[in-house]
This record gives sequence, structure tokens and C-alpha cells, in this order.
Amino acid sequence: MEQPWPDSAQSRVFLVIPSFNEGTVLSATIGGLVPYGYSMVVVDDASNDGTSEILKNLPVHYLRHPVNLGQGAALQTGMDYALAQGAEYLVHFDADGQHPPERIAALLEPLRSGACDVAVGSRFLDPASINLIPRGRKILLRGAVLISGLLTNVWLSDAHNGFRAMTRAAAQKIRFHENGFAHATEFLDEVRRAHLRVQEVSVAVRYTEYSRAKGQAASNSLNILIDVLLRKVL
Amino acid sequence: MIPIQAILVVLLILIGGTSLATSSRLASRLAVLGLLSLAVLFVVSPDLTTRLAHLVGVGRGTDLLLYMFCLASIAVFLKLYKKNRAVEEKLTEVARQVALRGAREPERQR
Repeated sequence: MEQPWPDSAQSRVFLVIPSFNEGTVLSATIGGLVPYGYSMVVVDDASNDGTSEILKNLPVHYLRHPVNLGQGAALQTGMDYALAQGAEYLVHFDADGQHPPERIAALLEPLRSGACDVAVGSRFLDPASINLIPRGRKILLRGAVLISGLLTNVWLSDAHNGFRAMTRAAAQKIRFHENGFAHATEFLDEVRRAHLRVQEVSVAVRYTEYSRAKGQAASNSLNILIDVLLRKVL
Repeated sequence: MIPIQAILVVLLILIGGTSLATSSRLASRLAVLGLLSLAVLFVVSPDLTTRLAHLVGVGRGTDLLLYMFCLASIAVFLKLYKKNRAVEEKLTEVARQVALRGAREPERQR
């Protein structure tokens, strides 16, 4: 395995993994991450599937919301914790294993070189990776790019990719107030507000049966859009 | 005074009195008193609303009241939405602090 940085540097990279009732798949995801030596923060958003027990013997920092708040809130809690632990780089990582662990290094690369403050994974940079995306999903994501771009004026090829990395300084400037899934758009809003430099990194997403079943239903997108709009207006 | 007027005036005074008791800020108390007097005035002399309606080009006083009622409902909805948002943010902060304090570190695991 590629290990371009010493172990201590790896452990100052904190993966923030929000999870809600995904204990089983999460433990598999964590299993795949352990060899890389990153620090992992799991924020259990008040799951009732025994996530706490399932993760007991795994080398992760485990936090639990006493009530379910939403993915955006869980990410923020994890970021607060990671910053307090002295994280140098923070990475948002999905519990369901749709993000390839080997691409974390690629995401961190432009941060380490100082090329940008925030690196966001994109499914739309590599033609081969675009073909992996189910068709309906593709249309939805393109729509999201357009809406996010119009609302935040940050134009990316893949606005709603949850695989993101940022420097400590950038993480300190970003604050999620959107508890639910509208945080993806809010993230871009925060990036623009704080004048952070963004770069996209090509990352193929693994669409497993599990992630398809769990992933945000198309109908939910409308709901998220309303959240986003309300936030803009009010 | 016809019976319905008497009923409405009594109810208005009861409702007004309750909201005066629940709010402690002077500004909102004055607003309640103002609205209450206006409501009683409209109940006692309904022609007043019709005359007001004609002033702004609306046919009937009841229509004018309906429009006002709609606007007020929307304003109340927005206010409640904002308030709910604020409560949610506080809840989030509390839950976050609970989570941060109860964090389980890798070393401490069995």
C-alpha cells in the first residue's frame, strides 16, 4: 500500500463518518480503512441498530447524538471533535462504503501541496466513472449541479459529492447550520463565503445494491431543494 | 347590539386578556391592546370595515378582513418557522455537546 507520509502524519488526517442505522455496513467500511492509518471519527446519529456495540472493538473515535439530527449536523459534530483532537486534515467519508479509501490520498494531495483549501470528489471528471452512475441518478445530479451553482455561485462538475477533504483552517471556517441533506449546498455556500479555494478530484463512486437502496430517493431531492430555497429566503 | 356582537366582544376580551398575561414585553402588550380595541370596534360597528374597504377599492368589509386574515396567517407561519429553526439550532447544540462529552476514544476500548 502506498504510504507517502509517515504514520504520525496519517493519524492527523481525520475521517469524519456520519452514520444512521448503518452499523453493519459501517463496520465493513471501517475494516477497509484501518490499514491506511487515518484517524476515524464515527458520529452515530442516534441509530437504533446497536451501532455502538458493533463498533466497540474497532479503532475509531465514537460519538453519539442523543437524538437524531441529520447528516449535516453529524458532520459538524465530527468536525468539531476532530478539530479539538488536533486534526490537520479533515475528510468527509460515507458510512456505506461508496467512497474508495484509496482515493483519500488523491483528495489530500492538492491540500498538502497548498494548491487548494478544499478538495471535493467528482464523479463527472472521468468518462469511465460517469458510466458507473445510474441514468436517473445522473440527470438528478446534473440538476443539482445547476441549482447549487445558481444558488451558491460555486460551479463544480459534481455538486453533491459527499467525499470532501479540507485543511484544518478551512474546516474552522465552515459551519453547517443545515442539519439535513441540504448541507451539500450549504457546504458550497460556506466555501464561497469564506473565500476558500476548491479543487475537484476525480473519484468513482461504487454504487452497490446497498447504497442504491439507501441513497437519497429522487423524490427526496425536491424536499432538499425546498430546504435550500427556504434557507436562502428566510 | 345583536347577540353575536355580544358573544364576540366577550370572547375577544377573554382572548386579549390571556395574551396580555402571557406576553411580558411592553411593545407586544401595546400591540395586543391596539388590535383588541380595533377588533371590538369592528364588531360593534361593522359598517366601519365596509367604509374602510371602499376606501381601498374592495367591495365588502368582510372581504377586506379576509385578505388581512390571510396576510396575518402567512406572517404567523413565517414567524413560527423562524422560531422553530432557532429552537432546532439550540437542540442541535445541546445534542452536539452531549455527543462531544461522551466521546469514546479508540484507546479506551476493550
